[in-house]
Amino acid sequence: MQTEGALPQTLSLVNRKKKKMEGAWANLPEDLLVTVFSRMAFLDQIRSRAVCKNWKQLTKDIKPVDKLPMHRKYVGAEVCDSKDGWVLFRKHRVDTTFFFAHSPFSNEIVELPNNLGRDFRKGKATFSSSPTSPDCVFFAAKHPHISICRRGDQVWTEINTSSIDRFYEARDLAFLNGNFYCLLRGGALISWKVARQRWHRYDTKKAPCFHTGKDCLIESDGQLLRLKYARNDDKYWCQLSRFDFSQENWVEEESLGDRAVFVNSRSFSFLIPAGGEASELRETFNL
Amino acid sequence: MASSESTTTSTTTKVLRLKSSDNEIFGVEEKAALQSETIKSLAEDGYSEDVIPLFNVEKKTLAKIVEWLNKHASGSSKEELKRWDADFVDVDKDVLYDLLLASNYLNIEVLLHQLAQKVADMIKGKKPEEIRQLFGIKNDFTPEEEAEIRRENAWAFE
Repeated sequence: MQTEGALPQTLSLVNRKKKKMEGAWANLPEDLLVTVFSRMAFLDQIRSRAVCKNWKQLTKDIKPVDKLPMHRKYVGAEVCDSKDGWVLFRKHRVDTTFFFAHSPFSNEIVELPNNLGRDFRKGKATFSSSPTSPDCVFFAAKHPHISICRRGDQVWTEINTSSIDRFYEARDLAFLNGNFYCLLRGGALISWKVARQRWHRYDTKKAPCFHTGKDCLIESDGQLLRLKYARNDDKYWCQLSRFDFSQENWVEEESLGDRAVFVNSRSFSFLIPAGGEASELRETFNL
Repeated sequence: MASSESTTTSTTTKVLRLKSSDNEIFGVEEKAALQSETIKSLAEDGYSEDVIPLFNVEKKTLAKIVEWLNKHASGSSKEELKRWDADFVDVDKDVLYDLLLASNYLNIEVLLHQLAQKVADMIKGKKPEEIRQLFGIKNDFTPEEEAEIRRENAWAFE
């Protein structure tokens, strides 16, 4: 009897051990999963929700430990651009423009040099990648000056623009595949190749006929998009084009598809996929 | 009457006896043991003179828990405790899992939060596939579901 009794116990221990190896962490009790998730930063929560079904299902409404802060630095600051969980801000004081990048998720701040001096109130600025990555480059344009700086630089360096033919004011900026693109007033597109430090002007043959309205340049999913919009009476109309690099021309997009576009001509515009809970926003234009 | 003897020799430091699921008995000073809300309520229910059975905790895990309870009742300085705690939670993921479940069952809030923080720290900055590998979790999403999740928050997966 004793051996019979002992055997199943040993077996059950082995089984338990095996089971534990297989699915223990995936099936962590809900209250424990919530305790762990509530100690994660927002970005880690998003990635953790993609680990397995159970983690995704049980962690829907858990607030991250880094709830979006209202930062003192935000006061009086304007948003220039945002990507990779970072926001690039500018702030004016007397005749100087200060730039800084802030990640509301990690609460890190990267200060940029303040030697631009000029009033950038109507200028544009963007950046290539997460400001904590060593190859991040910032790019600021206020006609007729264009300047860049890298992480850790003490000063912004002005780029010579004399080689650019018909260099009009940059309406909007975007970064894609190692190039900063500037959409100029009048519709011309130029690019600054960071690695080779060279300008390129695209000869867009039959540029869509835009005379009025606002012009935005958007990088989305590896594509360079241009959004033109204007107000006509009480209605807005907008036109979205994609830059075809092989033809060096703008190709009109028929619809936004499953995406929503958010537009702000003073700061930056972006497209987001509008799936799942955000499907109501599908094909919407948000000003 | 061994038990009454022990209570007379230690009037100020009463010892509770905790029994693991695999029948190992650990003697723990009351002051240390009562950091667990579960033990506290079991003691109040009249188990205190007898052995307190902890059906959900194996002896190897209970030994670690007892170690933690004693240290946190020892009056160590804050810095000393901080260093000690960092070492304590620096264990492999299987031990961490057992401790997490045990501290949850025993309702030792401070320990539970230290362990949860450890797990959150291990996950920090990792991609979903790295997290799966770390904790031996099987990817049970269909390729379509996974693509959808990534698309919803593409920026978080770069």
